[in-house]
Amino acid sequence: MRIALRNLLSTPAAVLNRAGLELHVGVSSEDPMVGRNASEAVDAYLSVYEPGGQFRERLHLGRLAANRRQLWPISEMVRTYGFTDDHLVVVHRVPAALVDRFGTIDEPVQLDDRLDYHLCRAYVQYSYPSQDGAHGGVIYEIPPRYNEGPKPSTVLTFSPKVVLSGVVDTSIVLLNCSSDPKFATTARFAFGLYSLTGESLHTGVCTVPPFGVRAIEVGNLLPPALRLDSRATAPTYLNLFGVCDNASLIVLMLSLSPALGAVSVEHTHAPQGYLMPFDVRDKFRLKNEAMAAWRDILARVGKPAGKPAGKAVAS
Amino acid sequence: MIARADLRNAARGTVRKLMLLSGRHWARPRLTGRGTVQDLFYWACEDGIDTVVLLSNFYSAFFPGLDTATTGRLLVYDANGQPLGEKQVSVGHLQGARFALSALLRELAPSRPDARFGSLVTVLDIPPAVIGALRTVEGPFYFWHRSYIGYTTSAGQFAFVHDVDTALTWKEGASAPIRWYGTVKPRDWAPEMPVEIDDYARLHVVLLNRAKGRADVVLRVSDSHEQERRFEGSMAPNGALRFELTAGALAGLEPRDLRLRVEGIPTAFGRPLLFKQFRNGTISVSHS
Repeated sequence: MRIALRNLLSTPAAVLNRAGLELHVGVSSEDPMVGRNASEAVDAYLSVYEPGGQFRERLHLGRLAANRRQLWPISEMVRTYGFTDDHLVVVHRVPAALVDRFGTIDEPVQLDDRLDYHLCRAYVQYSYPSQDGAHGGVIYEIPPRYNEGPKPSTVLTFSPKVVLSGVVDTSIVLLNCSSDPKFATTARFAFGLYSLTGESLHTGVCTVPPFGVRAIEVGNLLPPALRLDSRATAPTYLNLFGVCDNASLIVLMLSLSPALGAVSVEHTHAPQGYLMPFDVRDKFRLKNEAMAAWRDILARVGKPAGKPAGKAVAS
Repeated sequence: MIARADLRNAARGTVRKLMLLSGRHWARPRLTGRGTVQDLFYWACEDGIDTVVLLSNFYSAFFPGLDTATTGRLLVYDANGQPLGEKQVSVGHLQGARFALSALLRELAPSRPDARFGSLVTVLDIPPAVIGALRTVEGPFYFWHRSYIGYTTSAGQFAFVHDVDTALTWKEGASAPIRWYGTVKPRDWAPEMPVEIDDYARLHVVLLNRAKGRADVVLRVSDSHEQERRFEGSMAPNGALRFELTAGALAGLEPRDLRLRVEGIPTAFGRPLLFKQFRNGTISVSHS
């Protein structure tokens, strides 16, 4: 394969300044599937983007020896840029031997097609300041070619991880990025929030600029009465359905309890992962049919039940 | 001259056609007809922590224009893989249900107040309308019920995590599941997240056994000076095993950027779950 080395193993992450969260990123120099690739030194880099999506610069975080882990305080490192809004960073890992051999991580180089880094991911961790180490984290990655090519990628997403209460809010964080630096698509994410009884409580659209980040704070979208269900002590659970037909997005779900100093984060699954047909083309046919149906439903269902969530959301 | 790759592709195509004619899935010959695939989830009910089962009708996401109302069941096992009970559920179109494990255990297993953690599986049958919609789809078709589970504290915090592997398969119309995996085929897994043991009051490294036989597992914790602590455990089919790590248990190791390695994971992707409890009373959970 012909690829820029910075795209070999990369994990985009959101610096969530508006929520007051600190971002750390953990990196390993060991293949999690022991025995597949020999452990070797890796170079770690950080691409920093401005809140509007403009590329600022790439930092060399350091070289890890083989069989090591390291956690970097990303928020602290990028604070010098003075960004107060949310913005994107991308952590890249490159085997040091490849860096030394090719001398570039930006220009495409020819690599052995048999290289297999499936399930090699970086660890993304969020915390509130001064919480004595408390944090939430998740591991994920993007493929070497992401949002690249003439045909736009798409997203159909659904998640039961939306919860609201007197102490919990849910933030749906959307990251729009690409392995191609010329990527220029503003992603349009249409979504609906449904009660457990199947009632549509809110529909909206969130646009995310290329190499940008947007956070949808669910608590701001719904009337305060819905923050607690009728039993008054139990939280309100919701289901999320969403589509984006002009780009692939990373969709992270954060459960935030600032009063408790608690945060947890998890990603969502691609819909193709739910389908195991005999003919793999049926996966994509069913996904596309579902997306078309959801586009109609979300356009039709109506107006938001609560106030809009700042500039990120327009219904 | 015919290239070797062309011959290989032609042979592969012929095999797939034969598999299709015989009604079997080309990648998983044991899958026939229609059905669902489920994974095990870890549950814990102890020390102010409860587990919330998130049951959402994922068929509605794929077929929003159909009535995808369906029924299913929730099966709970103790840490030794022994059944604690089963609950029948029904979920309407676009709907969901949530179950607190503490309440479920009181209902299903009142004689087992000793059960503090274990595994569970949720099954949602393919809705009749979806079976109808798949009539034109050739060959076997299975839904992999990718899902999530939640954990909550007495203060009301939530933490969610998704499943990581496959455990049980329900063929449509069958009364009992079959296992996705056969016997234990031990693998090693090296979680990529650094362990900062001083940050946690307690870290549970949790494993579930999706294979047919008992699995013996070793956990190694190492620092950058190659000092190591080693822990051993064993788990029955459907059982849960957890290693408890604290700063005290790892005394003598550098507390920052520690690394884990689990030897003997019984199935291909049954990698460990890290369940952290912090000194401020909060929790977090992540798959590795």
